[in-house]
Order: sequence, then structure tokens, then C-alpha cells
Amino acid sequence: MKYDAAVIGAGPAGSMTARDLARGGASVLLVEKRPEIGMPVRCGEATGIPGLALVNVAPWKRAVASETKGSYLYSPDGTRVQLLADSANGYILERRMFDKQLAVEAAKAGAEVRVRTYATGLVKEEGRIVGVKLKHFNDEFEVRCSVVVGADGIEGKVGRWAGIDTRTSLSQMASNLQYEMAGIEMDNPDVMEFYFGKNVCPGGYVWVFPKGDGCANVGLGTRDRNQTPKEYLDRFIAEHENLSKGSVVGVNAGGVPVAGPIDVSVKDNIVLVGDSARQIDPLTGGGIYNAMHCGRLAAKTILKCIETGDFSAAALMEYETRWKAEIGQGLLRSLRVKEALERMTDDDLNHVAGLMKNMSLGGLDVKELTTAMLEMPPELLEFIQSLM
Amino acid sequence: MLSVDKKKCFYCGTCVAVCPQAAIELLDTCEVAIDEGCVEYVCRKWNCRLCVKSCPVRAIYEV
Repeated sequence: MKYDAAVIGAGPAGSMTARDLARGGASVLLVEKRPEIGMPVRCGEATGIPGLALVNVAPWKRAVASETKGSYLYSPDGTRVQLLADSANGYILERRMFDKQLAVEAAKAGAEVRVRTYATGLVKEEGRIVGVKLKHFNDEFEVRCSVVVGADGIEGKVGRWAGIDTRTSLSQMASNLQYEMAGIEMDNPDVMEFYFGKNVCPGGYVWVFPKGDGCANVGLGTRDRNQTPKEYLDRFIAEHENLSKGSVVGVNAGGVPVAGPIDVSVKDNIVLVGDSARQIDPLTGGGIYNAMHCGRLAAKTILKCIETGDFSAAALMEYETRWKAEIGQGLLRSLRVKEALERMTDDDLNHVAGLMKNMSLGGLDVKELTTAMLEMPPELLEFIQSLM
Repeated sequence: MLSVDKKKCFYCGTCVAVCPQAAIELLDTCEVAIDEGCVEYVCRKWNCRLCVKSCPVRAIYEV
């Protein structure tokens, strides 16, 4: 069997690529190594409502745990900056259902989806990539395709097999741990909470994302190696009575590369999307929308390649040029803001929070906030610029 | 030599992403494997241990 495209990994990036390819009439195989798509979760599960509309996805009711309408940002001394919208502008998803939905959409569009199917290598002929080696239970077989889409996450191998350096340096890898908690209380169960500070979570932040019914995702990401994420998270929870009285009903771990976009995301007959191309935001760690959007861009370019029969890196480069123009610039800006934030002491953070706590910031998300900083009062702007 | 504590490991892939030797893999059996590519096999003095340091739950340890 020969496919136009084999997509490795059925996360948001892979499923969106497969869905749009199939909708465009391509023959697509979408494989997932896990027995159950979306499991285990390794994500804070927050995403913006406008973003999902942009990528043309209406989430299943059971794929949404709650709706949020803004964020509280807490500085080390507890000063609260409020980013509140008038109406809901964010979802806390149930990724196990959301990822399943996207794979279902791909399947309904005509993609062939296979779970518990593991990619073990690329098939090459005369130096050209002509397919992918797969393993399902104890069956090992080869599948022919014109293009292999690596949507295989931070642990992705497709890029490495094709000679793309997808490694992330230790200093740019945030290690994350998250508890799904039940029986907790929040100041406002419609608002996401972010906590900053060297003692709370050096080189990162703690998040509390409400999932409704007294439940929340409570997690953190850090690049500090003196203590484990678990030690920081357990201490944070112990110090917050509204959380410590609850129970942990789920735990998950993961890595977030905060290095900014990958240098090269295409090669002859190869395309990388999602975390494998480091399309995740290095400031917020948010990657769902970016992965979905870039998956759609990849599908668009590949559909053109199917028409011309040219799957060379030069032809696939259209995808890279587009995603770097549409998403890449924002990732680089986030990287600069992240580096500036890292240079701020706890006193600096408290000072900025003090200046911002009475400002009306509307429903900006964390990323929009940093952009909005450019239009802030001269005193604050000067201070922030002195840090950059 | 490094080994993975299966009772701690979340199969998250952070170690795979930071391994300079591409010596770590998430297997289809929901296990993590470190192969001979690991510098710990080649030369102990190298003391790479990036995987150990990156692991969110310190599931990788020396045996």
C-alpha cells in the first residue's frame, strides 16, 4: 500500500495535518504509538477559544472541562495582577478527549488511523526516503509514502532519522510535573492562576487551571536542577491551604523545550510539525494552537506537492516559510521576553506587579500582556526596558 | 551505566529530547530504553547525565 503521506503521532499537530490532507483528497496514514490516543496526558490543557475557531475546530462538550475568562498573575510577595475578560476566552481541555476528537475528525475525513503502531525507522532507496518502518504488536512492516510527517513530539525520532538535529539543550528544557487535584478551592473558579518567584519556581512558574467541580490542574515547569519539579510542587501545595486540603487524583510529567523554533523543519520527503519542530511558545509553554495551526499549514503545502509530484525540501520549504512568518516571529519574541523575565529578581517582579495591579488590562493572555507592555506608562516601560 | 526506574517513569520523553547521543527511546511497550550509544557506556569520565538532570521525577539513576 502506498500513501501520499504517513503521519507519525496523533497529537494535535499530527491529527490536524492528517485531517486537512484527507479533506484535500490525499491518502493518509496516521499512526500513534500509544494504545489510546490522548493518553497519558502531558499538558496543562489550557488553550484560547479564538484559536480553536481559527483552526476550524469546535470541541466536543466532553473535551472541555471548563471555560475561563482570564488570569491572575501572582508576584513573589503575593501582589495580584488581573487579566480579566468580560466573557469566556479560554478552555481548560480534557486532552484525552480532545486529542481523540481530532483523530476522529481525521478518520472521518478519510485518513486511516492506527493506534499502538510504532515507527522504528525510515525506508530509504538510493538515499531517498520512500516510506516508514512500522511495528504493530509483533508485526513489523514497511509502508510506502511520498512524505513522512514527523508529529512525534519532544521525543520525536523522525527528524533525527532524516538528519535534522532536534535535540534540545538541558538549559532550554523545562521539566514539568502536574497534579490533577480535586476538592480544592479557588478565589475565582473561572480564572487561571499563575505564580512566579525564585522560591516558588525558579526559571518557570506554577499554574492552577480550574477544571470545574472543585478540580484543577496544578503544575509547574522549571529549569532549576537543584530540586525536582515534584519537590517544588509539593512545597507550593503545602503552603497553600486551599490546595493542600484537596486530593491528587492524577499526576503527569513532561518536558517543554523553551529554545524557540527549530532551525530546519523540512527535508526531502520529510516535514516536522508540533513539538518535534519546537513550535511551542517558550514563554508560556502553550503549544496546542500552534501545533494545530502549523499542522494545517503543513497539509496545505503537502497538497500542493501532491499536485506537482515534487516533495523536495525546496518544495516543502513553503510550509517552513509560512509557519515561521506566522508563528515563528511570535516565538522569538516570547523567547526574548522569557530571557528578560529570567533576569528579573523577585523585587523586580514585585515592583512591576505593584505598578500593574490597578491597571485595567482586560482579557489579555500572558503573551498579549507582554506585547501590551510596549504601550505601558513611561515609568513602567523604562523599568522593564532596563531589564531587557 | 544508567537505568530507568519503571515505577517512577512517566514515559514523557524529556530525557529523549535532551540526549546528545540519541541513545534513549520510548519503546512501544511504554518503557524507556537507554542503548549503547549512551556516553556512559563509552567513557565514564564524560559524565553527561543530561537525562538524569532533565527527568521531572528523577527516574533515571546509576546502576
